[in-house]
Amino acid sequence: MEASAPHGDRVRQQAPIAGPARLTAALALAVAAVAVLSLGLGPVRIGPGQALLALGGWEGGPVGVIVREIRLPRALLAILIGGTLGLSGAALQGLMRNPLAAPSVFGAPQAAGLGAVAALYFGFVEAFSAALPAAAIAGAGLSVGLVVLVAGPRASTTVLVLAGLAVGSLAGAATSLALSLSPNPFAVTEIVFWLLGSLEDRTMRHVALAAPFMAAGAGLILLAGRSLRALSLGEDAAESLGISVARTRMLIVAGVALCVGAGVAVAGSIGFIGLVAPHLIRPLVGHDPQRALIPSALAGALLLLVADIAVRLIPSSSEVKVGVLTALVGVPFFLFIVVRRRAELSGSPA
Amino acid sequence: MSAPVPPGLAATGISVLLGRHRVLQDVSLAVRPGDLTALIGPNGAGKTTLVRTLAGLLAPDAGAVTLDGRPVRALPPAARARALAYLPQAGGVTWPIRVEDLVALGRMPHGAAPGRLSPTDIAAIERAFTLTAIGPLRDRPATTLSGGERARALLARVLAVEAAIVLADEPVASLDPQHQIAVMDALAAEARGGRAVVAVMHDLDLAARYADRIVVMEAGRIAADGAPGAIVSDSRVAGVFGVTIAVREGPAGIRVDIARA
Repeated sequence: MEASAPHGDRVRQQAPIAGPARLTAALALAVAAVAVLSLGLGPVRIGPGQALLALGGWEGGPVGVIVREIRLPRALLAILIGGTLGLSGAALQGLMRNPLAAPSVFGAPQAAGLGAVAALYFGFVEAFSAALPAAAIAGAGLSVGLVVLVAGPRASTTVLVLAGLAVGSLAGAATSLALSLSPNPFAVTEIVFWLLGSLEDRTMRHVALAAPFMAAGAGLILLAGRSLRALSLGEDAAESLGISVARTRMLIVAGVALCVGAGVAVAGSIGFIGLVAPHLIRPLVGHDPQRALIPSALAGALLLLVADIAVRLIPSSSEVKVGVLTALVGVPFFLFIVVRRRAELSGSPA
Repeated sequence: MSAPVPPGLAATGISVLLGRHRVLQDVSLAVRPGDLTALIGPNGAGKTTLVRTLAGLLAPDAGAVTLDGRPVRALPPAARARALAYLPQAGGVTWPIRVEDLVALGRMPHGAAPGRLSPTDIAAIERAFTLTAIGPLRDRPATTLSGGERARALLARVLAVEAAIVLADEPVASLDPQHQIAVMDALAAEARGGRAVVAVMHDLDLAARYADRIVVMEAGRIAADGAPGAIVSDSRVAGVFGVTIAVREGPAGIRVDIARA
């Protein structure tokens, strides 16, 4: 079928830009609304109005303490971690030109976890608090860099996923080794629980620890946005358009490492937000990899906020870990993408 | 080097090693504005490597590729991208972006982005649409195009750059005759307009019909370089391909018949 547009139709000069701007505004509003909702939900129910008053400091007593000191850090971390995971996923998918690329598919959370566990194990964390995010960032950077290198510029989906699986398994095995060698069984339970990924009982100190690294990481990723658009045509064509593919790769690997590492350091491993969020956004922005970045971040924030509300509402003796929930939803979603793209995935490199 | 560097795009004595394999050996080639140069040769002769080196994507291990006397790889990337447009071999599009946004990517070196196009950008995109006759497909997702449509859309992206030099690696490979003619017509029109066009090709007959100049490569070297009439009747060229070539003068110019040697 030929398209219905008549021949000679002029290029649209402005039209497409309004769409993403409206989408971004709508998503930002939704994030704010769900964040306020999340301030009110938990063992003690607080209405949105009262929650806002408590947030502004006009509500003292236990309600003020619950909102400001227990639920606000939790909501902020959900926004920061979900947002940077969505952004990281969109950037990796653009860089690898593959909709199955994501931090969790690259083994980044496991590797960041290994870095964090190593820092705890060797006692660096007592020495200085930034050691935990620094070690996690190093772990995430190693894994993402390794997968990007091993998979190479013309990686098929199979090679990409296998390389990520290998790196993730290696990091997981090394973490298990560190745990079995640990002399303190209490610390082991603590670490295992923390690795599952949760936003429970976090404080503003955690927010302050992660936010600067995440801001830096997001900045690096956004710098690479324009290059991602050119990369839709492949690496040679992108280079011929004046893009440095090597610089783009470095920016994104470093940016993703900062984002994922900082997130894992304060909340453990929360996976699959980076896979799902860009997938939901891409059709809404005309599949433009640059325009997908910021809406994907907002969608990621929204997804994690919702997931973190869900774990509080699911009746259970102890709270379900939010990392477990995102994996339970994310893995079937991953398989769904594979099934939908099976024809092209089983053929030549995607 | 003592010899004066020619103006325009020129390779002077370049050699390229890929791994331990010498893919190009002492190749010199200056492309001329207004010429459609067909680069032909058997598989593995080094055509793609030569075009990628000319485009500044590969650094030669010896010799130099210069644009108006300056090494291409030393040019600022955006300036190089505005002067040299390159169509990779068997290129594709990853995402289902609209054809119009795909073609608009050719305006990136000029600072444009989809949704932020100057009247000059729009004129260039429209010209590319007209040359390749894909205007009616402008709203289609690029991943839903047929092979022939996709090849023309990718060519339109290259033509939208409006670079003085166009390097196209196998622009007509795996196209049916109708699309081959459409693409060659577009490239010839670019050359008529004063651009220097280099196209890697396999079809000797098509090359003889469209090109102003044919460069024959064999085993990393230039085996022959000249006007189509002289090249196709050169017995060495038949030897390069391992075929016999019969040339007929037809009403539409030279026709070439190829048979097994």
